[in-house]
Amino acid sequence: MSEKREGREGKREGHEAKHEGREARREGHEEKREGREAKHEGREARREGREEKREGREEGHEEEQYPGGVPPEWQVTIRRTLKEDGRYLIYYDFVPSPQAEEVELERPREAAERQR
Amino acid sequence: MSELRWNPMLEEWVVTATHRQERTFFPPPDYCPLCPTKPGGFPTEIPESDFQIVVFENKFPSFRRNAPPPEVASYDILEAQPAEGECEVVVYTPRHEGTLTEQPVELIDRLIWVWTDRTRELGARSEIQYVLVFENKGEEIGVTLTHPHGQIYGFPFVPPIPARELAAHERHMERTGRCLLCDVLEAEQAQRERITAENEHFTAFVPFYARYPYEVHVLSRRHLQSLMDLTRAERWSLARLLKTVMEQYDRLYGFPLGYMMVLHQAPTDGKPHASYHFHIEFYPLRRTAEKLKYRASCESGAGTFITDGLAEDWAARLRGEGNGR
Repeated sequence: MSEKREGREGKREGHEAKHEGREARREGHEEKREGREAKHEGREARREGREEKREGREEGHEEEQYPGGVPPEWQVTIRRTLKEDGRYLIYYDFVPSPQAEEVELERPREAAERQR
Repeated sequence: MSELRWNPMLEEWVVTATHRQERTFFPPPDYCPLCPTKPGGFPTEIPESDFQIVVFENKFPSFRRNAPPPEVASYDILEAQPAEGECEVVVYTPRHEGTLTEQPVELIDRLIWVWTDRTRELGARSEIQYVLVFENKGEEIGVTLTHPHGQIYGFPFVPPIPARELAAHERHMERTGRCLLCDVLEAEQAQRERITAENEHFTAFVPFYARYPYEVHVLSRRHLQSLMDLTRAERWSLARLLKTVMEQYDRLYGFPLGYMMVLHQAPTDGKPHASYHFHIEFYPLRRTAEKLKYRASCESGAGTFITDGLAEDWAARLRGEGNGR
């Protein structure tokens, strides 16, 4: 009887340990996510700073700076879908946007490294 | 089936893509595979009824992801490889009629945005060493679908022409400490007679060494390696200049001139290639309104082009100055 109880106890402890492990992993994920968010906020702040600086520079000088007319800024939505035969299809939707962020393009290998 | 076969004499790959024989050949307008799918209508490549710009994997690709092994076995010096890579179709507009020339500059600007995005994404794939953006336009070039569109190939190797250009850039840089095409541009700007159009960021000209009739090169004034280096202002300038170049072509004979338009970018093989200079080349085939330039024996067998016109005259005609000199 006591062996059976001990077995049950052991099982329960095992469950608890598993649960704690899950909790720890979840916390780890949370921390990682917070880190990512902080990085993103930093990037946003830097971008806003750059935007303000650029707007300041551009104010009143657009005509001089762009003799061919002010280049449009786009807010781009990229929609990826799969066709029935498995081939991909990508829709690019553009909306003119004075607030659109000038995309800072990464070098292909840098992008690949970041994805890794 | 597609595969790569090595030519040990020219030290270059040949792509064998037999399934391309089956590709759609001048379908009637109601069955154009590049039009949006109309409600209740024939299902095209694009399921939605409207769009701005669409990119999709070519149904008849020369290169593909997870390419199957070659059907023939390599034997000694005869080497075959899988044709790993990507082939995409870029549809510029939902409208079936017209050409890129007639589109507003804003659309061309958006198209350059898409080219840039595809270059970045395809170039990030480890198996893709070179991204070739191009447009074949006109029956004389062998186009089988008239709906305005272009293509993008992700090569598993650096193709021979960009490789030769790159080697020449590197040698020139070593020898002089300067960029080869920056020097060409400087010489063209000094002489001016072959320049056909220019703006604050780009110059279009018939090169001194043009091989095709009315061949035009569009060079960035700033030393850039690829589309990914363009600023927003440069992208806009490029869009405007491309439109001007295409309008000059269409005015030449009074009808839309067929051409091959090829973007020449640095490889995406992970090396810096700082010496390379991004540019776009147009190759029309029509030497007169009725006659075509063929790649005949001398061009195909010896690799030497023989032209029956002068770059200076072609440039003058493109500028609308009568018959040139």
